[in-house]
Amino acid sequence: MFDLLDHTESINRLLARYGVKFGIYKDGKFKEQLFPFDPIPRIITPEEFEELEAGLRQRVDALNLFLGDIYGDKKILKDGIIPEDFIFSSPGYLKQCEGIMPPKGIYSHISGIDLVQAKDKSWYILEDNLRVPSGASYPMIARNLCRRAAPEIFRKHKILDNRNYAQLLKETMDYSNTGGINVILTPGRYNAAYFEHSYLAEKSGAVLAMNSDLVVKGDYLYYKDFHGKDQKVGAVYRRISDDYLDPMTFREESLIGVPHIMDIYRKGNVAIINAPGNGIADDKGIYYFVPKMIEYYLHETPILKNAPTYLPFYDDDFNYVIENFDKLVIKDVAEAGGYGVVFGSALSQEEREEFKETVRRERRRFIAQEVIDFLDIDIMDNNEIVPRKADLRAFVLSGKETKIWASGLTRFSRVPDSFIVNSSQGGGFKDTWVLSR
Amino acid sequence: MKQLHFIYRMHSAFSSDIMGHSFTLKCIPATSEVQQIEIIKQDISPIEWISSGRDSFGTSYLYGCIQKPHDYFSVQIEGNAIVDRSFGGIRVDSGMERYGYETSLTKCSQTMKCFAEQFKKKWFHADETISDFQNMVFSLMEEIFHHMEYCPGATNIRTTAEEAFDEKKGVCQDYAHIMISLCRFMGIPSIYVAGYMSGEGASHAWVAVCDRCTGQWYEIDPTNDRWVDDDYIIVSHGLDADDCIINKGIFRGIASEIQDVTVIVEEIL
Repeated sequence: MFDLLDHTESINRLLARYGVKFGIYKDGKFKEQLFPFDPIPRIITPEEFEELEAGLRQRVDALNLFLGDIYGDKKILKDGIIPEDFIFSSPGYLKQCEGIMPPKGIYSHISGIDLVQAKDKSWYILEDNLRVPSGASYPMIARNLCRRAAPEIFRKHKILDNRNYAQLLKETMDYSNTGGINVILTPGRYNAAYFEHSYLAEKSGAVLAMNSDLVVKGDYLYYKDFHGKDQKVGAVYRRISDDYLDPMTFREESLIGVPHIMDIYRKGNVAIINAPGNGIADDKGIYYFVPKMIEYYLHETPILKNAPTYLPFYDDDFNYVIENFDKLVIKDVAEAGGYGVVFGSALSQEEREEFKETVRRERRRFIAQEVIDFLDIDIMDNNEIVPRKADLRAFVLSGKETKIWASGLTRFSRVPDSFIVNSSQGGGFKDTWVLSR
Repeated sequence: MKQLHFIYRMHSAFSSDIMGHSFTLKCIPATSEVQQIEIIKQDISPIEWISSGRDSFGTSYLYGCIQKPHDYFSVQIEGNAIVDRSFGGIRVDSGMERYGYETSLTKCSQTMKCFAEQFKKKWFHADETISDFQNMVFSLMEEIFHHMEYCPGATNIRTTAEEAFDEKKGVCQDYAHIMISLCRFMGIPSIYVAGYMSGEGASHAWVAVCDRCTGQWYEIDPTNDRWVDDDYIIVSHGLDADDCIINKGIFRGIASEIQDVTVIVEEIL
C-alpha cells in the first residue's frame, strides 16, 4: 500500500493540471482549491466489501421504499413506526412532491452513504446523502492517474477496477430515462463541484448543460443543441438543489433552474436524478429510523449499524442526553457539511449548560450520538506517515438493480484527532482499493 | 344549491417589452363534490404554447411560456357553476395530516399563542376535547373578525399571519392565514381555500377546518364573518396562500407592471 509514495508529487501535479478542484465560498469570496490527494490507499478486503455491499444495498432499497411511501400512502406513519412530526415539520419534506411517483419508482438513483470504521473494524453508517451527493469523480480520476504513473502496481495487486463508475451512472440514467437524451445540469463553473459535473458528463456520454440550454415546451423538456435544434430530454442528472430547480414551483428568484420542469416531471415525462424531495430521507432526525425502515419494508435485520443515536424528542433519550452530554456528539438536524456538529467534551462548563438548555427548548432540532472511536488510517504529512481520522463515502446506484461501486471516496482530516473530514473544511482524499478474491 | 355565472378577468400591462415569460395560472375552477363547472370561455393572450397540469393538492392549472417580446398579458375565464354544499363542503380524503403543521406564512407567534390559549380556556375541556366544534370555530372566527380591520394595501402576498395579526390589518388572505395559524396551533387541521364569491371584486380566500372526531370539514369565511355557503366557488386549496397563487409568473426585462383583476359572480335565476 505504500507503493505509490514515490509518485505523490507527479500525481498531484497531474490532478492540478486536469483541474481536479473544488470551490469554496469563504467570507463572500469564491476560491478554488485543489483537493489534496494522499497516495496511501484505503484498502478494503473482499470479505469486508461483501458485507458492505449487502448492507448498503439493503439500506438504499429501504430508503427508496420509504420515499415512495412518504410521498404516497404514508403507511409507515399510520403504523406508528415514525412520528408524523418528523416528516411534516422537517424542511426536507416538500409538499410540492406529494403524490409524485418518479419514473420506475426510483427516488434516490445515486446515494452517497458515509461510513466510518471503528477500532474493532466494524463499520458504522454516519449519514445518508440522497440529494445529489458529490465526490465520485475524485477517486475515478485519481485511479486513472495512478495507473498512468505506476501501472505495475495495478498488475501486482488484485484491485477491482473502479473505472466503471461512468458506465454504472449511464445505466442508472438510461433505466429511468423516459425517452430522450441524458443531460447533466450544472449551475456552471463557479459551482463547488464543477470539475465533477464536466468529468461525469464526458465519461458517461451525457450532455453537460446549463439551464439556458434547456427549455420546457408543452409537456416535454428539450435541449437546444449547437444547431439550434431541440432534442428531447429523458433524464436530467441535476447538480443543483431542489430549492433552485424550478422557479415556478420552488424559489422564485432562482436563475439557475428550469421553469416548468416540475410540471412535466409530475406527469412522468422526464426523470429527475435524484428525485426532488429526497431531503426527507437523509434528514439527521430520520437517520435514527433507518434501521426501523429496513425491518418495516424489507422484513430484514439491518446488516450495517447506525452510530448509536438518541433523539431528545423521546423522553428517555432526552434524559440520557442530558446526563451523558459530555461524552456525546450533538448534531443540529438542519445543518450539513460538517457544520452544526458539537462535541460535548469540547465545550466549557458554561457552554454545556447553555447548550443543554437549547436542547431542552428545541428537542426536535438535535440528535445526539456516541462518539465512535474511529480506526485511524495512515496519511502522508510532510514526508511522514501519521494516523488520521477518515471516513468513506460509498456510492450506491439504483437502476434496474441496486449496485455498489467497488471503490468510494475516502476523506481524511489533516488535523490530528479531528473528526471533521469534510472537504469544505480542508480535508484531503485517498483512493479506495477494493481487493478482488 | 345555486347556479352561478362567473367571470375572471386579469390584464397586466408592462411599461416596456418583456421576454421569457413563464406563467402558471390557478384561476379555473374544476368540478368536484362541491361544484359542477362548465367553462364557456378561456382566452389567454399572447400565447405561444400552453399546457395543463394538476398540483400536489389536486388543483388543476394552466402553464406556459411566452418567449417573444410582449408588453401585456391577459386572461379571461368565463363559466357556469352549480354549487351544492348540502352534502358537505371541501373534502380531503388522504394526506390530512399535513394540514396540521405550520408553514412560514402561517407561523404562530408568541402573541398569537397567548391569544389562542385565552380562547382555549373558553372552549376546550381540560383533556383538550371540545364539546361543540362548530360553535367553537364560529366563535374563533368572530374573534379574528373583530381583531382585524379590512384594509386593502396594508399587506402584500408575502405578509405572514404574525405580521398581519400584529398590524391588525389586512385582506382575506391575511384573515385566512391568521385563522389557519391559530387553528393548527390548537391542533385543528386547516386548509387555505382560494376562490370566487358572489358579487363583484377580486378573488377571495377562506378556510376549511377539520373536526378530528368526525373527520368532517367545515368551510368558514373570517373576512366576512360567516359560514361558507353555495355563493362560494372553489378554485384551489393548499397549506397557505403560496399554494394558491392565481397568476404566478417570471420574466426577463426591465418593466413595471400594472395589473387589473376583476371577478364577477352572479346568480343565474
